[in-house]
Amino acid sequence: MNAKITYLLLSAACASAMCGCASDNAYYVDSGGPRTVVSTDKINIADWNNASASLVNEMLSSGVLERFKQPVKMRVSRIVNRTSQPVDTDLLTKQICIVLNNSGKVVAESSDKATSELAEYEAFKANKQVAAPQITMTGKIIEDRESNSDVREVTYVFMLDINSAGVAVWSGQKQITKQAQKGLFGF
Amino acid sequence: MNIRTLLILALPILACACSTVNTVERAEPSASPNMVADKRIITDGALNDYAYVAGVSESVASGNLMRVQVKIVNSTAAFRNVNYKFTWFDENGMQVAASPGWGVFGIEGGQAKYLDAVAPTPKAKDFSLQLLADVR
Repeated sequence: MNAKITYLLLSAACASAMCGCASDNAYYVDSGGPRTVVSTDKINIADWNNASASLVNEMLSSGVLERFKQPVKMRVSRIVNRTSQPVDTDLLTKQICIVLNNSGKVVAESSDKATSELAEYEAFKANKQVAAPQITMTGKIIEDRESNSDVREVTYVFMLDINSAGVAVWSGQKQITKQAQKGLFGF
Repeated sequence: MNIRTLLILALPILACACSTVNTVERAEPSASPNMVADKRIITDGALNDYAYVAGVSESVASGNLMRVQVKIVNSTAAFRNVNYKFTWFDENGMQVAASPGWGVFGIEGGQAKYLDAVAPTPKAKDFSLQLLADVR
């Protein structure tokens, strides 16, 4: 009898332990929304969305694109990554190009080789040349880290320039700073 | 040491924990913002305390894009993060594609902050702003 009770209790304990170790079902949240994870070890999707929205807002508010005949052709050029992780800068530039394209003010030059070759072929057939981009978009992403005994902080600085005829006709910058409390053992 | 003495000693520490923003501006503003009459649906009274919409103004950016500026006031003494989302609508009241997603800003106690948004397309004729407490 005692052995039977012990066996039952042990089985119940094992079953509880296995249930406790099981992971929760996954669920959907809004991308870059208020319920996504924020961390200090990388640029989160919310940071990319915030930066691109802020920069394109500033660009459109400045009226710089009014100086050109619209839609103005733009080449997305070098976005330098000076952070500690490898990032795909399309996470920044693509969102900006989508908004600029929808605004009717800018058309981004395609980065696809086949598309460029087709455009050159069509221009050649029509005895014309493919129009060169009037503006280029360049930028840089910088990471800056700080910490004290209690808090770990990271700042990502997103810099963007719109260039024409060799000069930056517009420059914008967005800083995103995140903090996290350090754990019991200081990390 | 009695309770009264303890409280008196603790007062400076408590006061330092709640720093708020003082603001200086013109007594008679020279700018003439185009203020917009707005309609509000408040479901979170606590959020309305630290992210109170004090006014909405409107202008035009880049020739033909609607631009909206919302003044948000934190009437509490504590720093808070607030999530926000602008949604844009065309003249038929249909949501414009590629409306931006959620953003977040921090606002100090007693601070008035200005949220600025430019419509993503000239088709946008109306807007809606949603505010949400920091739920993380």
